Amino acid sequence: MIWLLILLGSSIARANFPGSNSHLSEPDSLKHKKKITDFVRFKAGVMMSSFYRPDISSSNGILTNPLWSWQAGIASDFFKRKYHYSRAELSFNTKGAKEYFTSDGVEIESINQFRNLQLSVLPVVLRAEPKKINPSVGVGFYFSQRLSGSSKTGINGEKVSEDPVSLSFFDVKQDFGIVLNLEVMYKKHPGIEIRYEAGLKSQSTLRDIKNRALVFSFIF
Amino acid sequence: MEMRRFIFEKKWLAFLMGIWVFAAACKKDKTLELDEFYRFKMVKELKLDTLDKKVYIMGFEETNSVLTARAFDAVKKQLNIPDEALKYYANGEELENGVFEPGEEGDYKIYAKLGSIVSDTISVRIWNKMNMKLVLKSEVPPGLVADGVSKAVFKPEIYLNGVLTTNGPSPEIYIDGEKISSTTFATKKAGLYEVQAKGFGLESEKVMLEILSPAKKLVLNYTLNSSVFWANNVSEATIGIQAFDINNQAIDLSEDVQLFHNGVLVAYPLKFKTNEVGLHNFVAKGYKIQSNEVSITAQDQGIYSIIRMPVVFHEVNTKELTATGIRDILANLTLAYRNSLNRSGGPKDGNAADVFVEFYAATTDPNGNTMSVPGLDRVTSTKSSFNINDTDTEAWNSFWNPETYINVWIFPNIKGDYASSSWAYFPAVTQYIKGLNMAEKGSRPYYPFGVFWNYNHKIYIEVLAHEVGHVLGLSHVFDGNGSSFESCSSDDPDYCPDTPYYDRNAYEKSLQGGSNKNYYRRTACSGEVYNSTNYMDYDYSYENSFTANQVSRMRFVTNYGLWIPTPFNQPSGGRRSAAAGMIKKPDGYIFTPPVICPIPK
Repeated sequence: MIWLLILLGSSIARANFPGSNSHLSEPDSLKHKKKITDFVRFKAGVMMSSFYRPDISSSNGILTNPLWSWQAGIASDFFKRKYHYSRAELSFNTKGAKEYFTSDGVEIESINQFRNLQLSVLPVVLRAEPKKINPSVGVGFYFSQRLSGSSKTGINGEKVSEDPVSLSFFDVKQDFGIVLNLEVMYKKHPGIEIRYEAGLKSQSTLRDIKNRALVFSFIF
Repeated sequence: MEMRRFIFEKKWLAFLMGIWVFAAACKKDKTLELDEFYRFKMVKELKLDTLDKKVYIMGFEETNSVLTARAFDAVKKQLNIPDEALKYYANGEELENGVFEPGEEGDYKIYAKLGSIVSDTISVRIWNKMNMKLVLKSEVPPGLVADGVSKAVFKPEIYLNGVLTTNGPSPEIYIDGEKISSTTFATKKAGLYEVQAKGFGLESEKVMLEILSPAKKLVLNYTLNSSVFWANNVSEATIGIQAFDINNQAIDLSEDVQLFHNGVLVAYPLKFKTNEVGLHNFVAKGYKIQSNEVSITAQDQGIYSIIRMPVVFHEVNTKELTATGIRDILANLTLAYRNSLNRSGGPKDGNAADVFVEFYAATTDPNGNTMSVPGLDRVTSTKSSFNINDTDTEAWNSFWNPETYINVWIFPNIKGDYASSSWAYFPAVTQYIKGLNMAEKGSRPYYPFGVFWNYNHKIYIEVLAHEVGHVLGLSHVFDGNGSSFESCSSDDPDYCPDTPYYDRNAYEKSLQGGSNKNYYRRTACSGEVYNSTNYMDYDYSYENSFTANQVSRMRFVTNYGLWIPTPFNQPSGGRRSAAAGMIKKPDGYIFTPPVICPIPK
């Protein structure tokens, strides 16, 4: 799926390259026929995710022991102005955490992966004067619906195996949170996004556990 | 242009690799407490599985145990917890691989942990057999008797290092080497018992328990179903044993009470019959005491010389009797008088006895002629029906010498009060016997002496036996005067002590109405309840017995009675061929009422 989306996005981008400048707003005086890529962009990348427990300071951070996964989807910009615009995205991603629990000589490796369909909205994306390097920064929010999930557990170094009991612990299948997005585009090349997503809704009714994710992706 | 794209792409690639390296450099695994693990986070209760015992004894049994625990969520559903995640502790020290291996005597508190979740604690005590001692204590009431109720209570105690233990395992109690299932012991068998506690390879000192006989005395008694215990295999002695305690209260017999007959063990309870004449001694033994001795003498009923009596049936107006029929009637009549007839199949009287009288069909008529049909005299009467006076009149016309023949008249169509009756006359005797008239030897009969057998009764041999009984001097066993019934009198109505008598009126009343009738049951005037078996009783009776006293009376009559074909009246005895002659009605004859035997309607 991910490779299909990347290849598809890449081919469309190439078909539009280098004349395409959909990322940049067009002067009002410039009139030409719009292509689909003027409205829909494709993005794909890798995601580092983890769980955040507000009551434990030693909770894993995203960078300390992330769960590596992927993200792919489509994005569209609206209300384009010279220095700002809005964006809406619909993507598939996999969030979760890879964690280790230990005590009294027992070590448990736990991997939880939840595949979601996520809608992200960035109402305000600010960008600078168009130059050779074009950075932009945006904030917004997301809402996601879990499509499937799996929990795997390994004891004392043994190979992880399915753990339906742990999976049942994560009994909340919806999530929403805030998005902080940084995008850099070099001239007319595909942009690179670095995005931080912080979930606001606990993923379990038994424990306050929230999603955190750092996403690196290309946008075409 | 392509080159530029390539360069640009290389740069992006380098950028991404930089991010990767950055992330990898930042990677530092952090661990969380085990309790935070999601599956364990759902554990609300950790329960340690109990061991088989609370106390294990080193040196006697395996003391090592593999511990297990189970985890449950908030709704008590058991959760799958990896064994590796569970830790077990005994007195605070972790047990390797969850195996409890106590190395020494002591009390241990065992629990399990799952992270910081602690299970319940179970206590196990380890005792060393080498330091244990088994002591049997008992509570025995003074004078414990073997009544099956009084009991001794045993209390085995375990001492560990000289200190009495509590809540430990229970040793078994053995009495005379056999294990008992409780700590109490009651028995019905007196004796000295050896009691010991055993367990865990240990044995207590033996305790001797003496259980006394609960019985102060054994009493042997008996009842007879006859006035005399005859050696006839019919008389029955019911042997009873009673035991009495020190308060003279009757107690249940124990299983070890035995009954001996002439020194031989016999089953108890016993209904004793025999045909062995002589003394029979009984004694009961049990409770380590012996009963009184009961001696029962089985008497010989006596052997008389057989008297054979010829019989002639005067069949009036009907022609149904045949030679075969007469032979059968008299054969059965003979069986009745030889104590061998029991057509009803009922119980015999305990005093039942042989009369030693037999009957046969007369072969010669009063004129000395050989009878065409032995025992049959067909009589023709101008009357077609008869009252008792008619029968009397007709009988005088065919009254064969009673000292040669038993006269049996068979009348059909009897009318009047005796339509359903047969009847007979008593004999006269030359020696006094209560209940019979005396006459000089040679006196002629002044009534048609013999049997009047109702035609309607001719299939009833028992009726004929009954009426012949009158001819031989027997009365009804019940109180009454001939055809009338009386209430209980003070005198025995038939002069035979071994035949109980009863209120016939009350009996017949008992048969009227109601559904719970017992036709054969009688309540004697003495209060005794018995079954009617005597030929001299009738409807309803089993009619299968003459008693010994009745036999004695009949044999007195055969010895001293007139008008009977006996050696007393015919010294030659045996079959007679000489002409016997007819008996004529005496002048000035006055009808004498016979003994009427009405059959109840």
